[in-house]
Amino acid sequence: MRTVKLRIIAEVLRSLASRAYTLKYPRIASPAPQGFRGKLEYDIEKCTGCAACVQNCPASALKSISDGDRRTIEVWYGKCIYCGRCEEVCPEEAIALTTTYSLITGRKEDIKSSVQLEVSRCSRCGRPISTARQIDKVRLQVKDLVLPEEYDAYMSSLCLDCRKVVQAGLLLAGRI
Amino acid sequence: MSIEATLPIGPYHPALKEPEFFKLFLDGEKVVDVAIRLGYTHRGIEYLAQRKTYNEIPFLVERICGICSNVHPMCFCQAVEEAWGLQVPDRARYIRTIVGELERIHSHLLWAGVAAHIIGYDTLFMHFWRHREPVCEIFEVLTGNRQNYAMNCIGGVRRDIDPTKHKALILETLSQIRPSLVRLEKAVTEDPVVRARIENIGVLSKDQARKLCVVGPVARASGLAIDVRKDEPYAAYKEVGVDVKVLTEGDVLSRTLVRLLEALESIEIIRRALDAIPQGPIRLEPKQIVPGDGIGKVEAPRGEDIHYVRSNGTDIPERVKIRAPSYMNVPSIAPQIKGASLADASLIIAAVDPCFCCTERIAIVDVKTKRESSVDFESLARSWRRKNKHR
Amino acid sequence: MKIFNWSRRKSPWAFHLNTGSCNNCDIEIVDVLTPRFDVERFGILLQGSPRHADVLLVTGPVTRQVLPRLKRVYAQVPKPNVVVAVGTCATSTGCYEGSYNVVGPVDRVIPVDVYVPGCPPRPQAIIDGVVTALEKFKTERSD
Repeated sequence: MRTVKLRIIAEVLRSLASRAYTLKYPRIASPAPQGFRGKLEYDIEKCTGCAACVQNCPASALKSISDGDRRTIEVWYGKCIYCGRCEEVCPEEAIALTTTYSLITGRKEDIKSSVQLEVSRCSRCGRPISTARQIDKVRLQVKDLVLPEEYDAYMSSLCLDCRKVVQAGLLLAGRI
Repeated sequence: MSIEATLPIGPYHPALKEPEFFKLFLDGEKVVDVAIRLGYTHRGIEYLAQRKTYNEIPFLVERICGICSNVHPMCFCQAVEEAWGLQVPDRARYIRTIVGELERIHSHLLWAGVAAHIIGYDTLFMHFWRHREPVCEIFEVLTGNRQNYAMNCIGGVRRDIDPTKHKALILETLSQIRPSLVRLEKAVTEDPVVRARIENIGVLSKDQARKLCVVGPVARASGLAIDVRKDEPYAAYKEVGVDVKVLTEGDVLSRTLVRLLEALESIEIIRRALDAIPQGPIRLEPKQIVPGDGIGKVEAPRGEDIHYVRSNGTDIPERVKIRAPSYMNVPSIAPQIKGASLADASLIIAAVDPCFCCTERIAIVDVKTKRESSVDFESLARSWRRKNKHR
Repeated sequence: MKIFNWSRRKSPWAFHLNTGSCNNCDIEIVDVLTPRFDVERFGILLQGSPRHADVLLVTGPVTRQVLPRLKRVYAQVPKPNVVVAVGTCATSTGCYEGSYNVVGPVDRVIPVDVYVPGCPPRPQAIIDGVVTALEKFKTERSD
């Protein structure tokens, strides 16, 4: 019986003899490893405001707020579940989850972050269409595919309803 | 035996980590009966799942339980893959196996520490959790978080195991903790004081276990050789193989032994899987949502977990049903605790490894007329909206 | 008195309260006591009774059944105390928003001093949160 009781004592002595396992945080820094899913950050240059991240967030932590000339994509870090879904679905790779893990705050409204984008208005009726960057991106992708070049710049500055009207007029006049 | 006193344990109690309520009916020091009341962690997961799209649900079901955090998304994804007829790539199946077995090690060590704490053996609690820490660090490097791995998605896994960095880290860590686990297992099972506290306590015979339909280590410690990994292999278990540990005494000591031996067996499974893992893609993009039913079954550290999904062709499932293993194991507390002494009550409750956040279901019981009825989600949601009109 | 505030800051006793969470944050709180992070070197002990506590660590979105118990436990914690809401669910109900049984984040029921978002927050972040919360004791007067 004595030998089996000695087993746990041997384990304790082994731990005493080895290096202390305690991490002396906060005296020493303890960064998260590469690939940690921490606080998300926007790359303001790349974001087009398409709001794919807003639609795919399981916790509804991302919101898209449109008010006339501006679209704001806002994230509330107090609601985020740090899953990485927004990073996966962003077509521009404008969202990345960094390794920041310490988001302590005394007021939860303070831990928000946003990116603001300019919204283009229709040159015929004045209603807002979408963000300027998104329209430019789509124009580049459908260049020369749909309309002759002389109509391209004008048509892409119109909203959907105005485009239908103008295109119908051009068709009837035999211009396209 | 007459009931002299009742002792409420919970919902907030030093021995418990989750809110749950046990009313023990006592005759002196002996427990005569127990009444279990749950419902404190019911969050309406099935209701929420039937309002989210398929891509969002794995993140929701991952947060059913923190300890079985890989099991629920894997089970849900398997159910959907069966309903839609998707064939998951081979490399993804092996990665799911590896993550599942790492989770089993971490869960069993967690339980062993908590059980040691309950019998007052804090040294062992600290040692078990110290050896569990490297497993959490593997997860942080491999998946991005210590507890919520977010590895499973419909059609495969989201992150790959890097053959240079991750494989070496996993193998090195496992070879470091293996000798310590062997020593700790001996420290538990050969120590006469620990044996006096856990041997012949909470005995569940094979017949009782079969009648109550218990699953997992509780069943395997009572002589029932049931394990989903062997009976209906999923992921890569057919190729990798499992050695199921079965004991016959049915007491707390057998359950402890089964869990610790399973943790050691998991180390071997991970080594075999890392050797045999094939190259290839890790994810398959589903092209079409097919209407139909699917059932996913996975062996969680606590037993058999079942998910049922009915798809109707839209991007929101029609019905999601989740049956967690603790739902079958918790009712087995009652026959075990009858006749036990009060000092052992906490240990018997902990020995079935209950995970109450997995277990929550709703039933309406009218205590005056003693009638029970089920309720559907819509009427619950309506009564909630009525009471919360200002929100 | 200053010496009471000093002792509360130097050795705060904690009580952990789970209001219906998935247990991830609770495991990380218990992990903070184990050898890797070892907050006992700061004098933080986990207590079994709310009457012995200086720091209340709350996790989970508050479910309907827990609501009256949460109020009762908070009334039993002696003043001055600090309340730390650990995890995204305690800060804002996280992904459970819209459920019939979740009555909202913790600060709808009891006043919260520090929020520690994360799902689950790393144990280092929980230590940061408790240390930040203890600043409140520098200026509080005991009743």
